[in-house]
This record gives sequence, structure tokens and C-alpha cells, in this order.
Amino acid sequence: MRIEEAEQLGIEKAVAESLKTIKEKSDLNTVLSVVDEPVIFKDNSSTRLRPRLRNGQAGSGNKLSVPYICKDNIVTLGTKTTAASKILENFESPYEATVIKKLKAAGAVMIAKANLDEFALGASTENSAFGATKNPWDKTRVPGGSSGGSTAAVAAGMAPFALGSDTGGSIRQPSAFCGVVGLMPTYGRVSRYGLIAAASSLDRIGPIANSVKDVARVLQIIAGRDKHDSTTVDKPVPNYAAVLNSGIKGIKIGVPKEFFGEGVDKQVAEKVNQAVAKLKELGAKVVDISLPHSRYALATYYIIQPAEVSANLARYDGARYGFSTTEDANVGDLREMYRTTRAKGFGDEVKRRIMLGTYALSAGFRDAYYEKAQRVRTLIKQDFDKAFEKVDVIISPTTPTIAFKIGERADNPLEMYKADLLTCPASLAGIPAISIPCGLVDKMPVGLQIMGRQFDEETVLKVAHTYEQSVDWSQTHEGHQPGGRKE
Amino acid sequence: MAVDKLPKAQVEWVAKLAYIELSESEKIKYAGELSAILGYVSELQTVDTGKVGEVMQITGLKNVVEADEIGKCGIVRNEFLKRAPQNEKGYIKVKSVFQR
Repeated sequence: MRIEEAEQLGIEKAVAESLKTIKEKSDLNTVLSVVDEPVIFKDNSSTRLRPRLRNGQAGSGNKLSVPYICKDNIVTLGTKTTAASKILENFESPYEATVIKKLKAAGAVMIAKANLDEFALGASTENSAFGATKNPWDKTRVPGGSSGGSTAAVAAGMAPFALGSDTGGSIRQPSAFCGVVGLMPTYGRVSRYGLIAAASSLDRIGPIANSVKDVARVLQIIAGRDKHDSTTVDKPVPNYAAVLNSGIKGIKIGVPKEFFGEGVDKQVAEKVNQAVAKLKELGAKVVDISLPHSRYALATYYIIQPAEVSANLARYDGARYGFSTTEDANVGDLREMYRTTRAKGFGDEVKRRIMLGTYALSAGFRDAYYEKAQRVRTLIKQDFDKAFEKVDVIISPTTPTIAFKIGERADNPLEMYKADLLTCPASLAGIPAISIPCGLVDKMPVGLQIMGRQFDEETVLKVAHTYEQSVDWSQTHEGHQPGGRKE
Repeated sequence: MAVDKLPKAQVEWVAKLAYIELSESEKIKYAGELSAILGYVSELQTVDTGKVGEVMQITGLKNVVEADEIGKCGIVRNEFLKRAPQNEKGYIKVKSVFQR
């Protein structure tokens, strides 16, 4: 379902249709909770119920009267927000995220909360405390992660768009695996107030939908400065829709050789090369570039990210909210309560990252790990800065492989981490990046990643849209086309 | 890297710092897994970072300040108390800090 199709249906019918599809395809385990009676704002309905926004653009005429699904690590009112963790199993937030407020003001209706890897830590959505999500293209495969519930829901036609969060690839990688469009905006472009923090120097919220245009429409509403998130930047939000059709004549596309080499499936790389050739045909100039420090991005990421996770997840202590062992008579003092609450409340991967991060930040090791990683991060960022002096966007595969089988990497955390190989460089550099479908390998979708300069979502979206408009998936995708048309 | 493997004793130390109780089998499992990950990330030691500083803020923001005024908090005390696992007389109740 595309946004335009949902708009044509009208909000009430679109909501009903979405809820019906969620029910019919419940075997995919995409959603953790459904809003029983979604509050629908009709055009002539009272504005009293709608939040007023002082700084938001949403109030100024951008309408988006369609249903949507929200990743369950973004706090919402009227539902639980679990982060797919046992430690927040029954948590109901007393406030809602800025992005949710803005979407509400634009008329969008949140209908369900999507499954994810616990606390957004993972690349397959297998780490959910409430069961793995299945890929709608092939139920024996993972949808990717951590926003796998959101991308699978969009791919399965459950809503015209969904919100996800991206720390090292968590929007783009599952978008690639599920054949949908997912955008990680520039760090600071979209408020994270109300996003359950994983790694604060990396976390971003972004839209997932069936077309570049739809993703641009959602970004239009959620972007902008928010005084509740001091990392948001006070830059005007451009009109994204206005640039989509302006063509790519003369646009320079950088192709980094490091993103096509070791660890990247040859067939996947081939599909991306074909897309690059297509863009050349459409008027772009293609330039070979090098991002030499990107080969260290994954190692850098897996120090910085767990370090920040270990600090952010210290708040789950069983004292103030969430699961707790405090009423257990066998638990002696406060410290034992902390230890047992966290042992029982967190899943394996969460414990692994907390311990890894705690180690990387501990006395005697901080300089060798965290500080070193933040220095290498500077080099990675400088590589991108240099490249963007010569090119306007950089293109690569989104993922090294197509969606892998459920269980295939579950016992090998390091193998699982490698799913972020091509997405984490953009995360570390703070730049925007989109994943769009670019064909099939073994009947599974392949993602094309387009990275741009900080705060230049316009060029990223324009290149993505131009490519998308030039291809016709109706022959190859057999009813499963990345456009989310229903089976 | 000074340490390229995380032996069981070190896993116990890290788990203590992180306030996570581990079973014996978990300690062995994490010792293996964390050692493998630390082995992988140790490749960073080969990178020359002598001339560059740490990333502090990736988009270059500095000193973001807001007016120092009391803002409205829409969330009332009871909202916090009812989310706490235990409360008493308007306070959040926890286990004793010291053993009697």
C-alpha cells in the first residue's frame, strides 16, 4: 500500500484495511501490539485533540492522513512500549515522542507497534524477547534488523509507512532484506526525543515506505529542530518533494571500491553495478573513489556502539519502572536486586553488548578501545569529507548478502555483526543514507545504498527517486514487488 | 592490544561492574564470544591515529543551551509512582542498601 493509495481510500477505510492485513498475516510476527481503537482525525474534526506544535513544520499545512506502524522503541501513548525486552514488557510511557506528536498533528494514525531486536541491538529481529519476525518474501528467512518488524510490515502491505530507528544499519539493512525503501536521515535532522536510547552518538529515527516519494513525505513532517533534543540542528527543512523530479544530469556518483570487495556477495555487487550503469544512462557521472578507512568501520562501530549502550542501559535497574526482582524474598539487598533484575530482564545479546561496552570503558582499557575508536571515527569521517569534494553521492550495496535464514547466525554474534559491514560507515560519519530495491538474487531483494553529504537528503532522495522511476519491477517480482503491492 | 582474550575471571569482573548476574555456563559462553569480538576489533590498533582527535560531535554542534527557566512538566508524581515496582507513602521503595 502506497501513501497515495491509502489517501484515496480515506483514513477510516485505510485504517480498517491495515488492521485487517495485520490480522491476516499475524504469522509473520511483525507487530507486538495493536492500537484497539485508533483515534482518527478527520479533516473537519476538532483540532482540540491535536497537539499544537510551536517549532514543528507539521502544523503548517503538510497533511498525511494515513495509518502507520511505529517501531516499539519509540514511546507512544495508549500502547505499551517494550523495546522488545522482557525488562519493559508491561511498560506504558507517560509521554510520547516528538515524531509521534508531529505525525499526529499531520493527521497520521498510529495503528501498531512493530517488533525489533531487543533494544534495537541486532541485525535479524531474532533477538526480540517476543519471538522472531519472518521475512514476507520467504518465511524461513530473517527480515533483517533491528527494524525488521517495521520493514516486514511495510513489505507485507500492513501500512503505507512505518517508523524505524538506525544506529548502524537498522533501517537500511532490513529495508534491503524486505525490498522496501528506508532512509536514515542526517544525525540531528530528526528529533529523537522519545526514542529509547541505544547509542546516543549514532541513533537516528527515519521513515520506511514503498517508494522514495513516500519516504520523502514522512521526512518532511518529522524533520526539524526540537528543543527536547539538543542534537537536532536549527537548519531550515527544505521542500523534499520539490526536488524529486529535477533529474540527475551532471550529478557525480562515487563508487567506493572498498564496498564491493571482500565479504560482499558477487551477485549482490553485480546488481548494484547494474544500477550504477542505469544511473549513468540517466545522465549521472560515475567516479571511482576510495574510502580507505571504511574497512575499519565495523570494528570502530563495535566499540563505540556497545560502550554507549552500556551507559544508556544502566537505567534499567528494577527500581523505578519495568521488570524487577524487588518483591522476591530470596533477593537480599539493593545490589542483588540490580544484578538479578538485569540477569532476568535482559536477553543474551543485550548482556553481550553491555559487557563489551563496560569492558571498553573500564579503567585501564578506555584509551585503548573507546578513545582509539573515536579517533578512527575521525579518519572515517574525513574520508567521506574528501570524497564529497569530488562527488555528490556515494553508492554501494546496502548489505553484503541477501536475507539469511532464521537461525543461521544466531550462535555466532560476530557473523551477525558483519551484516552491518556496509551500513555502519555512514552511521559513524553522521551522513544520510537510503536503501532502495535494485533487483533480486535467488528470488530475494537486493538493496542499493545511496549516501550523501550531511543535511543533503535532497540529493540522496533525488538520485534514489530517479533510479526508482526508471525501473519496472512488475515482471521480476511476481506480485511481491517492492512497492508493497499485495500478493 | 594488551588483552586479546577475555578469560572467565575477567568476564566475572565485567559482569560485576555491569550489575548482571551470570551462571557458570554463561560465563564460559561469554568468555568465548567476547574474546572473539575483542580479537576482531583489535585490528584498530594498527591504524595510525597520531594526527587526529576524537569525534566529539559528528555534525559539529557546540554548547547547545536553552534559557534557564522552569519548564512545565506534564507528568504528575503519581504517573511515576504507579510505574515503580514498589512504592510507599508517595516514595519509590527499594531493597535496603546495607544488609542488616
